[in-house]
Amino acid sequence: MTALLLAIPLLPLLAAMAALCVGRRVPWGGGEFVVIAVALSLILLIFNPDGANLSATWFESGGFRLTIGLEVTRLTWFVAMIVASTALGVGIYSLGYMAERPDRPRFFAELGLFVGAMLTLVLSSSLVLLFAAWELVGLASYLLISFDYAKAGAPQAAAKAFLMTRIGDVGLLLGWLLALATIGTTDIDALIGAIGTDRIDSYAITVIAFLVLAGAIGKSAQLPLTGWLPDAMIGPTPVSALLHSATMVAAGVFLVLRLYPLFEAAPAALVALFWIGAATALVAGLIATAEVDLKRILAWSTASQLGEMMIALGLAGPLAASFHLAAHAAFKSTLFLAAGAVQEETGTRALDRLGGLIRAMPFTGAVFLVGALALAGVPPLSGFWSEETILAAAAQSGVATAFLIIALVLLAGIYVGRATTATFFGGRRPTQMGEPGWPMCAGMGLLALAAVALGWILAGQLGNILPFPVEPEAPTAWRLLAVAAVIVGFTFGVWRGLAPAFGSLPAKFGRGLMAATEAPGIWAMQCARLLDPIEDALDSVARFIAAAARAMASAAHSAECRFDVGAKRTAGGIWRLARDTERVEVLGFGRGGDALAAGIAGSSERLRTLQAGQLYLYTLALFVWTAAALVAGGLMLWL
Amino acid sequence: MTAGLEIIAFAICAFIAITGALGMTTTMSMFRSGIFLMASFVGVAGLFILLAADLIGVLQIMMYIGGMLVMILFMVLVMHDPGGAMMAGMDMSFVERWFSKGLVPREPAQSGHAKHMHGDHQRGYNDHHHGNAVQPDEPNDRKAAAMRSGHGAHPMEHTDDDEQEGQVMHHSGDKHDDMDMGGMDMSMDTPVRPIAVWLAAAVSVVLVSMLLLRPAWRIIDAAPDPDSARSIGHLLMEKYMVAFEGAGFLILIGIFGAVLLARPSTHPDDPSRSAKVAIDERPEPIADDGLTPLAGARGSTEHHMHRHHRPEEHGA
Amino acid sequence: MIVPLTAYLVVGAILFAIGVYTVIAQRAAVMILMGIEVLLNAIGLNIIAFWRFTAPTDYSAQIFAILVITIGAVEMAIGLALVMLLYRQRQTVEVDAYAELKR
Repeated sequence: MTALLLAIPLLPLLAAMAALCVGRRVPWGGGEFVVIAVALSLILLIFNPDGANLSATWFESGGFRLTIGLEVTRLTWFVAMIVASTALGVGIYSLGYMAERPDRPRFFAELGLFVGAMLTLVLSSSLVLLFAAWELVGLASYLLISFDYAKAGAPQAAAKAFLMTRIGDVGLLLGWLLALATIGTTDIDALIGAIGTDRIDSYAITVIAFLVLAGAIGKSAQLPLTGWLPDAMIGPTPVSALLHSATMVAAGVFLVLRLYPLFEAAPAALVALFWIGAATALVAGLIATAEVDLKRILAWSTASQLGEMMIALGLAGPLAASFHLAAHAAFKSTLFLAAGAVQEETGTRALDRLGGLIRAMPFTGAVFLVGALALAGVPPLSGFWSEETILAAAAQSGVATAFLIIALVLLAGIYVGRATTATFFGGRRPTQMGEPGWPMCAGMGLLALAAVALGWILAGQLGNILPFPVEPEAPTAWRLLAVAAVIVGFTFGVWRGLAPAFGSLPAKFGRGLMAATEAPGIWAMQCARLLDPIEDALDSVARFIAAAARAMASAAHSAECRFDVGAKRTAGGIWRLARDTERVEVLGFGRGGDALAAGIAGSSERLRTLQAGQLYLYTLALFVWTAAALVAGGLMLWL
Repeated sequence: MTAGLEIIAFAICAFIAITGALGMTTTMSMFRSGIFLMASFVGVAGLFILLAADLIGVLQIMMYIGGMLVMILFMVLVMHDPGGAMMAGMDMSFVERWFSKGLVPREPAQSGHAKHMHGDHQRGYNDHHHGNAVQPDEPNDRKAAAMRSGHGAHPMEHTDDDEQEGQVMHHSGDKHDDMDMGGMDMSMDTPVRPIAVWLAAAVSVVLVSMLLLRPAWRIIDAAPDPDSARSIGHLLMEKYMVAFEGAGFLILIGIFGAVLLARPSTHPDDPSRSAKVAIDERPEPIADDGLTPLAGARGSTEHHMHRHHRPEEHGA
Repeated sequence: MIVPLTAYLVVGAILFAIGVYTVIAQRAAVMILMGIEVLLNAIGLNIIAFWRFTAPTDYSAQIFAILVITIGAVEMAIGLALVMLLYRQRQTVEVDAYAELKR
């Protein structure tokens, strides 16, 4: 079974590739591959309850050991089951949703990619693989949001979603790198195992926890990175149902759950988590009561519910968070699918155009109502049970937190009642429309059932499934207060109907919030734009320097040319001088020497005649000398 | 002796001495110059005797004339043109002409003698020159006139020259040929001759002027001892023994050297070797001098001994 | 002596001059040697004249004259031998032909 563990995330990926390759020729456009693959993964997952571990060392370098692997622990199994089940339901639904679309193979491929990546993320035993899957999930979200790339605003929404989650991803990256640097390995179990020991100091744990928290905030659309979620609703409804309600946004919560010992060892992070979650939940809930777009209401609701989960986590109630995760996945996806059906049939999502659809789409209306009641927390639906556990955890921490939960419950009831009433009830626009196709109905129905039944199933069993301690139940007073809040809220919402529950203030607040959260981004972009003049200035400076250098070089070159000319002239002059000297030497010394030699030779020739051997010359010379001697002697003696 | 006699004797001796020397220099004939030299020696000897140095005077005659002159004459006879025939026909100065009276110039030679070198002219005999050589008119007249000139040496010369005259006459014929040959310049008129004349004149002038301008020598008016020979002999043996012996040694060495030098050479081509064995096939005929020829011999071997042998010269 | 010393010396001078001329101007080797004889004669005459007039009692001058004559004779002998050798070589007695004695 361990080998089959690998197949769990791989099957959807392979189905995605199959859908991409041959989806056009297949009747459902490749969707059947994805659905079958997800079903198979679900089955494999069911038969791999616990203990299967498939990890290996990716590579070792410089004392760091990077591991990859899949691991089925109780937590990972639980969340993987949630993911796979939701994906199955949404997949079936999307078979019908994408029935008329020609580019559905691409959709199913992206969907398969997402499911595979999400399963890898959940089942990962290595921080590296988790982060890689995290990024892949973000990529799939981007692709899916902008599936209808021609739709106005879709690419922008996808880019916004991607970038905002990316900001959080930086924190996660730094977090796991720090963990790697501290421990030397990316194995999550090793990290968890090393928390109590001396291998990590508490300061490092705190830093890692905060960094991871940043990632969770980004992915789960908590403040301040909330803005992308409502805009992401522009994508197809299955996407909204799967990604942005049940799974991807839950990944943040899952991350905290997975590394919960880390957070436990860093109480500051838990406190931050609580406050962020509380703020998000309140703000998002308030905004949801004023939204006009059905899906946007649901998006803000998602953010609020995630905030509740974060509150639960922050209050040291991981079990409650997990329960609510599962329940939220069920009912929120149900709601989204129903909203999608409504949109498909009516062509609009605006609440002021919808109304009175219950008569035209009874099944869809029933499903939506079920989901809405579950969201509100009406017993005995799943929402009630998960809210109970959260309330218990909150009551543990104090009265204020409990009241916070009560308030959140109230808000949830208000906005979901409003949405339901505005969409399905009331007599505004009775139009001629029918139920959607059977796949959509089947998907919706499945998830509605889950929304109904999940609470019962998991209510008392969760402690056995998950490794978290079970919270004691909340005091009865709070529970009764919670139920009362549910009823009050829902009734209020229904009564108010279309009109915003609390007036226009939430809307304004929402807009202000959006502006506030967008402001840093806009400010960063303007800073970036400011860089342009600086860059131009630097460029011009550089150009100036280059021009100056060039001018210097040309000046040097011209000087050198002048030197060259001067040197040439000098050389020419010297050469001429040498030539003249040579001429003087040849004529003067040469010929002069020759003449001298000739003269000497001639004179010697002439002198030679004196010694020609002619005797008379010798005798003549002798007697001439004698005569001269006589004369001289005579003169000397007698004068 | 009386003063006049002394003066006359002095004059005559001086005249003979000077004239002999002059004649020796200027005459064309080598033999005549030898004779003139002898005359000069005689004159100087006479002067010696006048000066009461009789030993020296006699020695002068004995040694110079008896020794050196004979040597010279032998040499002249061997090598030279004793009769002066070669030069006789040339242009001469007055002095030379006067001293060369009676010499017979050689007639123009045949072509066969064209290749003769200078020395060959001594013996280029040809038959048909005999006739010419015998009695040319004018040379004979000149000869006669020369006989009458009063040189005591002439008759001697003539009688000695009979045999040689033929040669001379024969030789004179070659003169023009020699001139035409252009092999060697036979002219007496060397470029140095005027200079030599002037130099000689200058030397004599210098000496004479030195004499005339001299300070007075101490003249001792003592008479020399007539028995000077004895004194000289004593001196030679006593005071100047070394000089005497040295002179004797020098003579000995000189004799050795002269003999050594004059030996026939060992080189086979040396002409001196021919002196021993040379016998001319056709010796030059001797001019007909009126004497009865000797039987057999057509010329003395001795005559030919020193003749330069060049067989090819006998061509026609 | 009636005839003065000067007369003898003049004769000697003239003889010397003729000898000089002969030695220089003659082209025949034997003639040159004869000129040398004349020179020696003049020298001897000078010696004897001076002896007679200045030291008639001292016969050393005569011995000197004898020596002069003797040496002159020896020199003549050697010279004539040389001339004869040269005559054999060059077949001529012209001293012009003796210009290259190296041959």
